[in-house]
Order: sequence, then C-alpha cells, then structure tokens
Amino acid sequence: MTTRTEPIISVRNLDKDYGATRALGGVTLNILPGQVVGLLGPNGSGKTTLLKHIVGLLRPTRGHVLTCGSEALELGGEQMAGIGYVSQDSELVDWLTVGETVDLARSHHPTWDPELETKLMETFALERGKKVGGLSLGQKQRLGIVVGVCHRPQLLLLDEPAASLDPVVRQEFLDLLIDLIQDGERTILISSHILTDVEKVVDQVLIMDEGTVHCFQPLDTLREEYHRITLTALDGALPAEIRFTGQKHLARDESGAVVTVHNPDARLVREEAEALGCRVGMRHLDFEEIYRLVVTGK
Amino acid sequence: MSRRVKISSLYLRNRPLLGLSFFVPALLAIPFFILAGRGADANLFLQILSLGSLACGTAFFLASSQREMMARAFTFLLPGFRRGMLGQHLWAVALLALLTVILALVLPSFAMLPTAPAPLATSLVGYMVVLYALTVLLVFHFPYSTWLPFNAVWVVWLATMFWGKTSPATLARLLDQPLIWGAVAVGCGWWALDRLARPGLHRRCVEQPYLPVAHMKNPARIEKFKQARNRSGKAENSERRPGVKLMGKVRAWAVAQHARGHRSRGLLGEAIGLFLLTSIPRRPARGLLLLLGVPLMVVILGYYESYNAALADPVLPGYFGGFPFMWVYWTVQGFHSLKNRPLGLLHARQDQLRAGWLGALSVLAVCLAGSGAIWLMNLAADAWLPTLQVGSRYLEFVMPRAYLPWLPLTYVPVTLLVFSRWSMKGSAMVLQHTGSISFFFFHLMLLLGTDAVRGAAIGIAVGLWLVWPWVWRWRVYRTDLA
Repeated sequence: MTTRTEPIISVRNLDKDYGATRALGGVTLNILPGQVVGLLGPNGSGKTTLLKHIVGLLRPTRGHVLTCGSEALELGGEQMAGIGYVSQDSELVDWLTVGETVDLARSHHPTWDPELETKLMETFALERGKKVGGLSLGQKQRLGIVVGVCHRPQLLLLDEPAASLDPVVRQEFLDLLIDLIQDGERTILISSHILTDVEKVVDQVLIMDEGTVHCFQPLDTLREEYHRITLTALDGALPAEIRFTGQKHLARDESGAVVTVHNPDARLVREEAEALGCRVGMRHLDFEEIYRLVVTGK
Repeated sequence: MSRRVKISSLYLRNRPLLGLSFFVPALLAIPFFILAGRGADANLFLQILSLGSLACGTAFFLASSQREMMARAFTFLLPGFRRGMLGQHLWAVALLALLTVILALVLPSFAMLPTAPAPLATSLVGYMVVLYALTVLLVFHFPYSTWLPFNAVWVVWLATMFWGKTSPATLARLLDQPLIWGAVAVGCGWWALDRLARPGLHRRCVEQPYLPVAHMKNPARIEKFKQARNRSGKAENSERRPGVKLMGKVRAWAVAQHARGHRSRGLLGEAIGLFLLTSIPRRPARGLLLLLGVPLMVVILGYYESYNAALADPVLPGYFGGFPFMWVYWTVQGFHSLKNRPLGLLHARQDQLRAGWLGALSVLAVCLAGSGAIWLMNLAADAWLPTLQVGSRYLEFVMPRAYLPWLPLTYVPVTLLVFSRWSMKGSAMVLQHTGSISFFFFHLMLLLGTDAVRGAAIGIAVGLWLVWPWVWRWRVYRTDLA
C-alpha cells in the first residue's frame, strides 16, 4: 500500500447548477491514491455529475476539483493517460465498429495492455466487425469497460459500469476489478446501485443524496458503527418511551421493538435495556441496511 | 503506442454521407477549373470564390467529422486526441496553401494582374486561411452547423450576383495587401488553433447536442436532437421568454379543444380547428420578429429595387421585392404543412383524400393571406414613403411586381410533395430548405421567363396540385396506418 498522503482527487466546495436546479451543493472530499471508493446514492443524487467534474467534463458553477494534482478543467495529456472513465451510458461513437473503437483507444494510450484487451474481448464476447450503434446496451457497456481499463489507468472512474450487464458477465467484471485492485496502487471510484457488488470490492464508501455528501468513510468502520437492537418485553408490554444513546431509528409494536443505533456501547445498551425491562439482542447492520439508513433515515 | 488512427480515414470509411456533404461546397470549385481553362478571359472573382469554396468545404469536412467524435465523452480522455485534430487541420491548410500558390503562379488570369507573384500568393493564401479558420470555428460553435454546406449554395449565389462583375483592377488592389491578409490570416488561424487545443471546446462539444450529417434524413434522430437541444437550452437558461406563459395557456386550451372535439367535428370543422390551432404562435419572440421584420424588409427592399434599377447593368430587376414573401412562406408554410398532417390520420381512409385537399387548401390560404398582408404593406409604403437622397442618387420606393401573389400557387405544392415523401415528424427545417429552393425556381421562372416559360411553370404547379393529395394519401396510409 502506498504511503503518499497527497490526495489524487481533491474536491473543494463544489457547486453545480443546471439553470435553477442544483445538482451539487458544497461537495468537499479528498480521495487518496490506492483507495477503492464506492459512490452510492439514489437516482439524481449527483454521482454522475461529480464523476464528470473529476474528469473535467463539466465546469463547476463554484468551487474547485483537483485531479492527479491538476485542475480537472485543465488536465493535460499525461494526466489523461492515467485516467480511465467508463460512463453510465457508454458514450461511444455509434458509427465506428468495435474494432475501430478499440484501435482508436489503443493508439492514443501508451500504456495499453494488449493481453488484457484480448482477454476482455474474449470474456465479453465482443465482435470486432460489429458497429457500435448496433450493439445492445449491455454490449456497449462491455466495450466501454474495454476502452476504459485496458490502458491500466492509475485512476479509474466507473459510472454504473455493471448496470446493464447480465449476472455472468457482471461476475467476470467484478473479478477483473478485483484483479486491477490487487496491486494496491490503483485508485478506483465506482458508482453503482448494486450494493452487493460494491461491498465486494470497495474499502471506502461515499454516500450522496440531493447533491451533498452524507457519508464518506471506510466500509469496515461504517459496519462497526451501526447496530440493530432487538427488544422483547419481559412482562408482555414495552414502555411508552424507548430511548437509547445514539438512537437513529425506532420501529415498534406491542411486544417488541427494533432500534437502530450509531456507535453503541454494548454494556450501556444492556443496562438501558434492563432499565426498560426488556430482553436485548444486538447485531451489525448489513450494508444495504446501512445505506438505507443513511439515505432515508430508516 | 501503435500507429495513430486517423479520424478522417475512419470517417471516410464509415460516413459516406458526410463525405458527400463535403462535395456540396467542393462542387462549387468546378467553375474554377472550367473558367481557369479559359485563360486570361476567365472571371477572376469566380476563380477566387471557387478557391474559397474549396477551403470552406475542406474545413467543413474535417471539422464536422471531428465534432461528431468530440461529442462523445469517450474521446475526451484520449490523450493527444486534440493534438491529432490540430495536426490534420495543419496538413489540410498546408495542402490548400500549396495548391493556391501553384495556381496563383500558373494561371494566366492571375498572371495578368499587376500584383507581383509573391504578394499575390501571400494574399490568396491568407484569404484561404481566413475562410478555413472561420469555417472551422463556425462548425464547432454553431449548433446547426450540419446545415452549413447546404446553405453555402445561397451564399455563393448571392456573392456572385453582387460582386460577380468586380473588375480585375479592383481585385488587384485588394490582393495587393499581403501584410493585411497575412496578419488577418495569422490572427484567425491562431484563434482557431487556440480554441481547438483547449479542453473547453471539447467539453462544450460533449455537452451541446449535435446533429450529425448522416442523421439528417432520420426523423426520429432529428426529433431526439431537438428534444435534447431544448432540454439543454432550458438547463443553460432558466429565464422564461416574455409572453411564453400566456401563449402556453392559450395553446394548451386550443390543444384540449382539439383533442376533445375531433371525433364529433366534421372534416371541414377539423381543418378549420387545425388552421386556428396552428395560427397561435408557439414562440412569441418569433411571431414578433415576423411582425417587425417583414415591414422592415418591405421598406428596405423596395428602396433597393430603385437603387438596382438605376444601375448601368441592373441585377435581376424586380427580383428583390419578392424577398419578404419568401421569408413569410418559409416560416408559415412549412409550419402549417407540418401541423396539418394529422388531419388525415384522424379520419377514415375514404376521407383521407378530402383531408389532404383541405389540409393543402388551408396551407395555401395561410400563404395567400400572408401575401395579401405583404401586398397591403407595400401599398401603404408606396403611398407614404418619401423619396430618399443618397449621395447624388434619388431613391423611390418600388412596388413588387404583380406576379408575386401567384407565387404560393406554384410554390406550395412542391413543398407539400416533399413533405409527403419525407414525413418529417417534428422537423420543419428540411421543409424550409426545400421550400426556399422551389421558391427561387418559380420566382425566377415567373420573373425572368418568357410567356412560354411562365406558362410551363404554372402548368407544372397545376400538375403538382393534382398529384399531391394522392401521394400524400398513399404516404399517410403506408407509413402511419399500416
């Protein structure tokens, strides 16, 4: 693992307005080299807009984005050669063939890995002679992945790369990602709605909603922080008021309750439960539950 | 790194239509070669104009192919992509400059000029570079640049009409300014190169919707492009256009009335309803432009007719009075043709022929009403406008010739036929272009032709009127109901 502390991506007070609509509001974050970050959030939360700012495809309304040490708006050829971007809607040139698209990408990238290209073309069953415009959405996404990763970029940005892939190819894509992560030097920012996939590969989680960052921390820490407490009344009825330290959410019925708490102290929880006259069970939240809690508060 | 893939070669292989569009302006260079063969007698202005067409055509071809690729985010992160683009332009300009220098030194018409060969070649190369750079900038910044080569015909035509008889002495004076041409060329060239090299232009190309040349015949693609453009426009500018809210309400009411009533109303009622519906302008700013622009054109062109008639060798006398009519026809007729199309779809098959006739007549009625209004404007202008003194000349307002109100009768069926053939849902632009061509055709035939030519024009129009509803019915039945 690298020991460099200078961030590879640095976002400062980033705002983006589309007319009267605010897509991003005051986003500030640093991503260090070697981190694998899962970018999560509901539709329209600003994930794609943030990724486009990082590669310099959008001009901020306010604020700054530094990518690979340079202003994202002014990235030079050297920095661009180290960035891979797989966009959500595979923005490729429809009238080129698959082969021409790959050739075009290869001829511009000095670090292109032909072996990886061959492997991915075979794995993804892409025919070189087919026109891009005639490919299905899933096939376009596969091609987008080929041209986005075969130069083995140091910074890889993936905007819902597996959304249109079938389960088999998705698994192969995940294997590829894990392979790319192995060397520990590569920074990957992956936006996805498929939480089970994200969970397998990321070590940091960035959750956005309505254009703002709700949470950005290591996945393991996140898992450690949130617990679900199950309360069962010992005498048949729960007290009217249930309050735990760090309580985030409470769901209850006549005889039992489920309380979601942040950073609980197990001993304190047991004491509080005893004071309420309840039997207590405690477990970690799974990733999907944490996500839902952060985004919806439930 | 493997050998750099040439964008232009990808283009020529995959996009023959764009290659074809390149030849629209490039074809304009043909007179150059014909005239060049005539030696010293050749028209020097046309030769220079043809060279310019060649520069513009080349610039258009390269810049359009590049813009299509730049519109995709995939290319934004290809290192060296923009440098490759610049290299292609430099090669193209170098070849054009070489061609220009050779021609300037070789052709007898240029050799006859009193300007020395070196300044002459410098000025001509400067002229080519200026045109090339400006075309490239126009292609990258103008959202409708796809249409540029198809409109180039009119630019060349008007330039020839106005300056076609410029004397070699005048041209020699213009070309004897190598320093000025050189400086302007360096300025324009640097401007274009600087813009191309910056990521900002690439970013703009990705953000801004663009209609590739090959999609011009695809109604669905054009519709998609227009929707994307409207969305993009709204995103960029949240300010409401004045009057839009009120007009929107009026339109919404009319649309609701139309939807509610179409089953119960007869065909004639339907035609009248559509006529009224399409008469409510969707964009008040355009309506206002027409309202203010037409009287202004009537006045300016009425005086220009007087100026033209006083020339020793007048250019197409009587022609300019027709321009306000043409402008109205372009806008109104294309729009009404488009909006009247649903008429046939709302009725049974046996009524479609009648629906076609009614639709066509309503379009014609709009055009004739427009003609009448412009004619009244001309009458008022003729009665009230004073004689102007410009230098030593006296200019009087001149009325358009009396054939003009007949123009819609000849002009409308051509456009309707094209409309039937193409069924351009949601896009009146091609219609307007076709309309302008047919307008020029009939305009000139009626204005300049002999009685036999005028009779032929009217005969063609009558034939088209008879054929049109059948073609229309066949198209509607085949494409929309099948």
